Amino acid sequence: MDKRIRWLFIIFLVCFAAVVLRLFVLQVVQHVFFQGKSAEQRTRIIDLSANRGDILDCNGEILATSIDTYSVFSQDGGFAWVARRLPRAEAEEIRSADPQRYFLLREKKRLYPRGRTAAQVIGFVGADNQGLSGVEISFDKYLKGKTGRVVTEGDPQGRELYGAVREIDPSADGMNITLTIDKNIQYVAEKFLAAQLKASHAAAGQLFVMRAKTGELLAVASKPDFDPSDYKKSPPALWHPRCLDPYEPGSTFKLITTAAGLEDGAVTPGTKLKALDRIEIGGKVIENSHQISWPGASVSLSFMLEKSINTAAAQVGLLLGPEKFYGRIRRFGFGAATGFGLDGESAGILRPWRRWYKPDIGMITFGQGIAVTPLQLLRAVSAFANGGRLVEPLLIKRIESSDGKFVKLSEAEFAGRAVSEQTAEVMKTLMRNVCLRGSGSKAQIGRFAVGGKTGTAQKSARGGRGYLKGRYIASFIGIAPLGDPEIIALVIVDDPQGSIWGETVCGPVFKNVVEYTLRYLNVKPDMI
Amino acid sequence: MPKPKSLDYIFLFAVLALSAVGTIMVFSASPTLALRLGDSFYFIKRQIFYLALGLAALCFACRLDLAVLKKRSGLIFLVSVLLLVIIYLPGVGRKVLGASRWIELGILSFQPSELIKFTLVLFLAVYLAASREKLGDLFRGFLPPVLLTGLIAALIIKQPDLGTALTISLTAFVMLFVAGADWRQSGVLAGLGLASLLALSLSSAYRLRRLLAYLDPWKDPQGSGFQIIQSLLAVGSGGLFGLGLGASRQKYFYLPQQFTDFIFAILCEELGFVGGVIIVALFCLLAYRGLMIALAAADPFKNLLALGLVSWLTVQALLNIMVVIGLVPTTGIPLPFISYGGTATVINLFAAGVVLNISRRP
Repeated sequence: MDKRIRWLFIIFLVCFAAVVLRLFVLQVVQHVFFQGKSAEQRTRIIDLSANRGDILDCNGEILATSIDTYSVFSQDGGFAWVARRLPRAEAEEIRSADPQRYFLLREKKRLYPRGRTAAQVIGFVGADNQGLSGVEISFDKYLKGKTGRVVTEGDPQGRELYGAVREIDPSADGMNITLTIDKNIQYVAEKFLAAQLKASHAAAGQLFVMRAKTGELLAVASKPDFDPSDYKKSPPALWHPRCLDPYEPGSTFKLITTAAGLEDGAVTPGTKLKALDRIEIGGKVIENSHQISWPGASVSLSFMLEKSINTAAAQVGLLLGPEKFYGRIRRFGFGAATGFGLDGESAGILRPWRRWYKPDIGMITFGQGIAVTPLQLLRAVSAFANGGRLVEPLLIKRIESSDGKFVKLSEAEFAGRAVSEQTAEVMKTLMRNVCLRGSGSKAQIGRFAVGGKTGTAQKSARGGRGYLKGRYIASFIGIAPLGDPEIIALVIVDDPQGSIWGETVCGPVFKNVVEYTLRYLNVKPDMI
Repeated sequence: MPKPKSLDYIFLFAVLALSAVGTIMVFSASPTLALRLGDSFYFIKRQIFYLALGLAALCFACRLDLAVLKKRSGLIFLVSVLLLVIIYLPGVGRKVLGASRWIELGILSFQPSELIKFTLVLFLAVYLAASREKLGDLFRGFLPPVLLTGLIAALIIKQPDLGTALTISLTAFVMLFVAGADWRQSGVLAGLGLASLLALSLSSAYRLRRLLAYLDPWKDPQGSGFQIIQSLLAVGSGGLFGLGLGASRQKYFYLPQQFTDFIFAILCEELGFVGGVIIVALFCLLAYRGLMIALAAADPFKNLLALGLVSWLTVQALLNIMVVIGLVPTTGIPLPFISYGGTATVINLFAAGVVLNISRRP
């Protein structure tokens, strides 16, 4: 009996030893493994959402903001949205149908209080409030803020453990972006543009109003547009800001040709060009858009601009030669994107002079065979308003964190000198003459001295070479008032029907919008 | 009558140390669940009350005249068997987690299967002491205690509570063997026991799941393997010195039964390998001193009684710990002196008191 008790104790001892051995394996040998598994299952990561910044106009009016909405989801057999981004009352009503199945989640919704106004520039956001176009995508990194997160320990039901070890990475709200756009000027610009497109049965159009001295764009209108709150209803082609894309500027480019010739000395204000109905360059016959009854045997520079005479402009090109002409065009900033601010801006199409075709030296003088963005053209013309210096077009006025600690201000930026002050002065006079005596007469504004240039470009065939017969892009670019330039505006109407001329299609729109702008900005008339 | 000796203080120390650690661990592991009942001290208050009751029972058992206990063993056993049957009567028993184990007594409840552990050991000690010479006789000596134990075990398995049934079966077997049962008969019995255990495991779906979970817990970590995996995570993440008292993470509803059947896992998580080994050492000490007391007892009844009680406590402790560390398949039994529980705490301390009583008057 005693012996059997001893045996029993030995069996117990063996069992206890086995337990200790097993504990050693679990707690010492495999400790790291189990520690990791345990930590893994209780670690909870909670995202802290950041508020997206607002987009404001230059007076602080809200163009895009975010509001709280409520979404309903169910969780039977996996997460599923039931309804998203509703007002609280509506969401709660859905939930009340079955409170055991449906749950509410607060979500931000992007709101565009001014609807379609400046939609292409402002852009829109996707389902997760990520920027998808316009300012919303180009400045997404400023707008979105920083999503924070809390890493903590939770129980299986998701409650935080008592005394949980927390790591907090705080969220930072997105920054507010103030645009140079003025919602009132934008509204007027869109209104007059839309009216003209309707009258001309035109497919599309753009209108830019830029402060001459700073490059700030007060209006960037583009029609047709879309509703950023319901962008999926419109074709994706409309989402893209058209102002970033190049077009053939047509005769508005004669301003550049003239300034290049003057600056180079190839021509002077008194130069007499030959009066020709047609001229052949490199095997291509260049003609004028109108039959002109020649008052004398020759054509002055001013007359060439006033009546937009292609054969005369081509002669300026020939006097300059490709190399010099190309160099002058580059000095105006063509071939390089502007500092506008939106991503995806084209640099235009300007082939180096060595790769020009023979007729190009003639064609480019009146803006065919070259493609520029409206922003590039505005920048180039700004040189005439600023004593020869180019001003970068600006869309962003200020980027500011919600606590005011971070501020990034955009200021007028000069992108170099295109021409001398003297040439700029001559150009202003020549532009004035276009409006006084030539094709720009419909752009005149009461007691403000306006100077400008029309354009009626043949529409180039998409992708290939050649032009579409009977289809044009009419445009007008002008400066007002010329005495002390405040505004540069560009009107582009794509494919007008009936009258196709920049003079009749775009001149009146320029007049209406710039007149409003000058009065709105309290600009004093420069004529008595 | 031999001269009274002094109390076995080392055995007493082991019992008190384990009880103290148990109370502290219930203090640490129970508030997570208690908070849901609105009172974070809900279980601690009760455990301290049970402990006081148990210590009183220990003192009482120390001074009890064991001759009276021996004389009344039949009646005591009969009453406890009746109580075990009564839980199946409608309106008396209370079901918790699908098991009928409790009898409601006002605000307290009583677990007859805890009582039967003691009364069966007592009854077997009386029987075996009286019929040691007849043990070689299969029908008149060996089989009656075997069948009696089998019957009790069957009643308990029906609750269902395989762990307790296993504990009393092993304890009874140890008593039979030490009392002098024939090697061959014992061997056949052990074989039959193992076979029926296996048959039982395969006969019920939940036992089969537990068996499969034991073989490969990671096969279904969210289902059948969940409890054992969570237990291993608790034990393993404790490391050498533990996360510190009260710092368990697994007690936050990852590990079910965190202050009852699986309290040892939380202990290992908070106190580490060192803490776990200390508890194992205390149980080992308890077994050693307890068996020494049994050896020292001159009276065969006292000898077998001490042996039976100590074997029961040790077997139960080993089974519980082996379940927690995944050495044997999951079967729900509390860890003596440590786990939360009313009836168990009182009966365990009473049993310890009886062993101490025998140490004074071997």
